[in-house]
Amino acid sequence: MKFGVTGKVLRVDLTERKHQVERPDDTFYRTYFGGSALACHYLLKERGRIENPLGPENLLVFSSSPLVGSGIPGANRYSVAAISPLTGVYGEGEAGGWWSPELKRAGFDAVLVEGRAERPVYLWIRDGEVEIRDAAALWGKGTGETQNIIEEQTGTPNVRVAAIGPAGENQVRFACIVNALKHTNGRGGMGAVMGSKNLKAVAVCGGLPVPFKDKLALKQMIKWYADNFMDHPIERVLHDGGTIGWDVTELDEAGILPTRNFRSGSFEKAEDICGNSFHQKYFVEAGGCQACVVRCKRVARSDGPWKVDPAYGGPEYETAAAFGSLCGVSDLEAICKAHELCNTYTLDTISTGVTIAFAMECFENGLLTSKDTDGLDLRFGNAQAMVSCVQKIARREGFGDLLAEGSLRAARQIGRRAERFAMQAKGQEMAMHEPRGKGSLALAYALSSTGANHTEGPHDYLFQPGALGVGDLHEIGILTPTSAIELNPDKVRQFTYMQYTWNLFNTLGLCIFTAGPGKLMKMHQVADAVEAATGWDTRLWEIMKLGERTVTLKRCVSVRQGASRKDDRLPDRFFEPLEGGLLKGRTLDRSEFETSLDLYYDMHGWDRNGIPTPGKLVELGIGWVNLKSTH
Amino acid sequence: MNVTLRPIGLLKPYCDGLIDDQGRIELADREGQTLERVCREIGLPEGLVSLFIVNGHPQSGAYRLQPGDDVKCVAVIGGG
Repeated sequence: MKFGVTGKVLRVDLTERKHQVERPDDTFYRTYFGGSALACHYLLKERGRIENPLGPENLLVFSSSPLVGSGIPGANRYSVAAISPLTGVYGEGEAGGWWSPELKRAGFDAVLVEGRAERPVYLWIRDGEVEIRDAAALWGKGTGETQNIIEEQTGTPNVRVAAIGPAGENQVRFACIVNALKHTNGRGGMGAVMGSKNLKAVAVCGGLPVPFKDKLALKQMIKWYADNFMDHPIERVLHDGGTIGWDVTELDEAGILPTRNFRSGSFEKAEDICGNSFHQKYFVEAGGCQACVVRCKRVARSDGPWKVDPAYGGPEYETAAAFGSLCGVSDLEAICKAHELCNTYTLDTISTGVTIAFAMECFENGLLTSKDTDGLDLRFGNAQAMVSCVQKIARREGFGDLLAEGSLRAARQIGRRAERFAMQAKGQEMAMHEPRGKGSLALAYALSSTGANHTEGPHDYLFQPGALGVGDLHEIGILTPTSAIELNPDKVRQFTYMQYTWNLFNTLGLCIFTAGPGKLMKMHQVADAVEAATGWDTRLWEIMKLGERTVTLKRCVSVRQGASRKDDRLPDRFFEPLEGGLLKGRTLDRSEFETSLDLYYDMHGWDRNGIPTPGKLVELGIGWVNLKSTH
Repeated sequence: MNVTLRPIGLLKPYCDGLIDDQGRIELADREGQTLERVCREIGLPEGLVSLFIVNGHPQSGAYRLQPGDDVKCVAVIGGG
């Protein structure tokens, strides 16, 4: 008997309107678990290089994990993965909420979606039964209406729906997927892949039991977490203020709040968009995900000129900064509105904000004029123009059609060296963290197989001398703290191990806010939780190797798509001085950066071109991966 | 001469009752003490402060206070 999993993977062919159920063996589950690693397994086993990510040949994977549904706080997430239409390499987005545990109760650990439906459809999965349903009445609708109509059509109140809105239907290259109106598989354009397949939604509901091996041990861990999380400084901060409450002011003081398209590290109106302002003006209540006591989500409401609907949640830090300081906008209500629109239309708030900031810088430098922007005065600080851009992008309306391609493609269309204003890596826009002030973040942005990604590992300030995360590294063999801003061999080693932890979490369906270095649940406790859920005699070694396997599997998918060292780049801006803030004048050093890439590849068992070596693939138990014909 | 200490953002609730209307804590007789010790004694959780800015310049927690110092304490966490 298997524990922690349903033992079933659903494969749906939309072209043929068929589905089948597969039953992987124990070795499969213990090697790939779920989430990212499971998705990579299928992309590598079943696909060669995919030329058109928006074509029917792309494989779209929804993947839960053995830990999900166990009740362990934060173990409620899932990955959606495919070749990204934004980057052309591996793409994925992770989301919390209730969808992932519901998928398992509905009978499946993962859903593989192939082909392309002739007309819009949605998947209805209930207690092991699968229907491909007509979605004509849903097409063109936002996530709120979609949720309501599916509830009505299925006769199931609170059915868990992962859906796309108009942005996904219009194949905006950074369209996301939203479940329950507020939990997003944000990055990589997975919503556009759904749109390209004419797949409007995946609705799940179930009451099937998922067996967990040691329920008593799990119960004890859950109780321990609930009893202790408010005594852990970071968990308490997350509970009390959410991510919007822990970053804007702090990063501004540190000189690393991305401002006006990463030109500066300090925003003169940071106080207007910070957590304190949010909680005073627009906060309704805290929200959360399945089985999580931290409840870090925030819900916003306003009856002011922008009229913000609380049904769509509220902005995280990333969203507040992307539409705020990065666009020079200090109107927090407009930022909340932009957030609401993104969750309605299904747009990734990070890529949307960065692409708008890119356009603003082009406008201020004369590369775009009001003739190009449908009359919008697209200067930094214009909140009305920022919100208008969100709507235009989602609808691919006028100027929005250009921005819907993402900052890199838009820059290439604009020409005249506009690429220097596109803050992206591998085509994916940077998140709201400044690599000139966080050494390992520079590596994360450049080296992530998905393109710029801030969730490759915990951030540098946690591991400064005296900081909270330093002691948590001892159990994985890192004994000395590092300076946040430096990029040196010790930092590369630290980043390597940290990358294993957060990539592991994407494979376990575990939230980075409840566990890992700097959080309450330590890595050996994560191993204990896996053992209790699955019955496998798992130890720290095995899960760290799973994290490493995940990193290399993702790399292999991107390498197969043509990625190599040439793509592990950062925009030139980061090698130029920051214009303002505490770190004014700070640059990344090109020589240190290149040396760090060499070291990183060496540590990972990849060659100096960034290609995983055959020996490393065998060592990780994935020797079947064939990269010979890719370079 | 006093030392001025300013907990930033999320650190403020830990110092309720100590902070004045300007968001400052005025500390007397702290000359020579380390920032780490002072933070601990005013109730800031150990390890949460990851950046000290003294008179506009970053310093470590081992920095020893001098008369007239103006100190910002920042919890830089990041991510999400």
